[in-house]
Amino acid sequence: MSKNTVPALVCENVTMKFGGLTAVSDFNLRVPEGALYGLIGPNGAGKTTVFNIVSGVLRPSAGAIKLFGDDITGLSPDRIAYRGIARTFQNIRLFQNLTVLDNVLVGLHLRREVNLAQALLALPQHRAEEARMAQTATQLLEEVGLDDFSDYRANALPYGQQRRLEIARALATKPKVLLLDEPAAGMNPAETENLMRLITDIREEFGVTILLIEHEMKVVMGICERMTVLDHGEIIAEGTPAEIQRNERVIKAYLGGGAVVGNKGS
Amino acid sequence: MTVEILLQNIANGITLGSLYALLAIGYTMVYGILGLINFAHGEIFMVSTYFAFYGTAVFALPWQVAFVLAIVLTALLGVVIERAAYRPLRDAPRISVLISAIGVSFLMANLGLVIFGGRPKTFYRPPIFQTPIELGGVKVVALFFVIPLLTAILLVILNYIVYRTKTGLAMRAAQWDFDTARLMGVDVDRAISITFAIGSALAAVGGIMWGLRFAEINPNMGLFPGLKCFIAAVFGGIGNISGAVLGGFILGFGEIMLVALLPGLAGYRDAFAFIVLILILLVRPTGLLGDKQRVKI
Repeated sequence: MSKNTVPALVCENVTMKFGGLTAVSDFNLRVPEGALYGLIGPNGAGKTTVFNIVSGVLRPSAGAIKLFGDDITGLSPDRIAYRGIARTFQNIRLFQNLTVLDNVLVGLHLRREVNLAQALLALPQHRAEEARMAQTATQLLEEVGLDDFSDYRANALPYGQQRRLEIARALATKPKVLLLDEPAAGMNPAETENLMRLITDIREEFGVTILLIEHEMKVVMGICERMTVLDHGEIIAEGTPAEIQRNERVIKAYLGGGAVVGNKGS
Repeated sequence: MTVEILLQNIANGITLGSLYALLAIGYTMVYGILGLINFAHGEIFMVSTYFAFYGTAVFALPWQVAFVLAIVLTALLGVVIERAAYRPLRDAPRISVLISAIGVSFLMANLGLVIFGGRPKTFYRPPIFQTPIELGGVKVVALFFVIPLLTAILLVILNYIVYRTKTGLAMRAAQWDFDTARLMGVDVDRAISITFAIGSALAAVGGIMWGLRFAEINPNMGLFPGLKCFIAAVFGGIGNISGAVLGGFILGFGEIMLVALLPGLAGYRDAFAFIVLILILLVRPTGLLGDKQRVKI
């Protein structure tokens, strides 16, 4: 099988139970390499749970996660990050005590080679790497438009820029698959426009596969090629934005039963 | 009080302050990353002096080798304690880990009593540290310069590790948020092990210098310095390394000066630290350099 036909990310029959509550049930997902894929659904549908499973925060009760064909189910989050999955968070989780630059450097940390002993001896390798890392970090900050703020503490940034910093930090780990959890949450329309452009740019420039959770329909419908719709932990639809917009179960899930009647007439 | 005695007391204060600072750093670093008061830290300090004692007195190693070996072994001991007693409780409520820490502390103090014996041992003091040096008409032994100087060097190295290396960055990231640090590829367990190794190594340096300074070691010697340095860390602002150093110096210096200036209160020497603790908790619970209380949501 050639590499192109192996999907970047696969979820196979993933089920997640918290005690008696089934948050995600028999979830299946295939994200092709290079895709910009949406995961949508009403509040409490289990979208973030899926992200937590894929990134290793949660171990699924059943099922498997595969990254380019390799089973990564149950690996620790740092191992999964090393394999090439990075994420952002619905509630911003930056290292608020660190500077903007340091936040990105933490992400870069993963791919560094110099160890503590070498650093202590201030070997040339360490210095060279330091310089290289700082440069890479600055480039990433430029990418998201934060290069002027590199010395600020992360918590000094306005909300929309904190979201961008999270994206830069995630990109610093050199991911193959990037998980974005509601990146447009709390953004105004202008910021949202910029964000959409940023996301499509990132895919082009970094060749990364993107899985996106989003409530803002304009964003999902505008930039995703395909999407999966979750409701109460189950997949209710899968398809292109146009297909999803016409899907009755989706409309029902979002708007309640009454809306379906009107839709039938069209 | 004559000038000589005052100067001698200042030297004593700085020396004790340095030792407290070295020990307080271990408390504050572990608290910073795990949110845990490592009550076994005083016992780690105690055991380090025995490592050095056995190296010099029993195995007759050159003191340089014995001391370095003692520091390395103590660092390993700290790492082992974390693996055995704290890591299995990583996801347990904090109070469980705290109880585990108190358990380790008791275990080590009593194990020390069984293995090392209750009678104090005489610590080997290389003559080089006892060389008299005259300064401004006052004679002090070299040790009084070695202790603060060595402390200062170690602080510079520590500062470099924490703020200039990727290991330090990983530690600071983990300190803020374990889960996110993991998701960014930080091996949090490794960062924690390194934190324990560094804290324990500093405690060992403190322990060895304590032995050089006071000549006598016993299995219960970890208790009071341990408690006082915990207080020093809280006083300075727990979780903050500069705070721990500042707290250690103030406490050590204050203790010596209390005895020197008010000899009548000499019996309250050990109470001094606890009074400081009560006052700081009343007036400024976050400590001198402590951050504002942060809440993880």
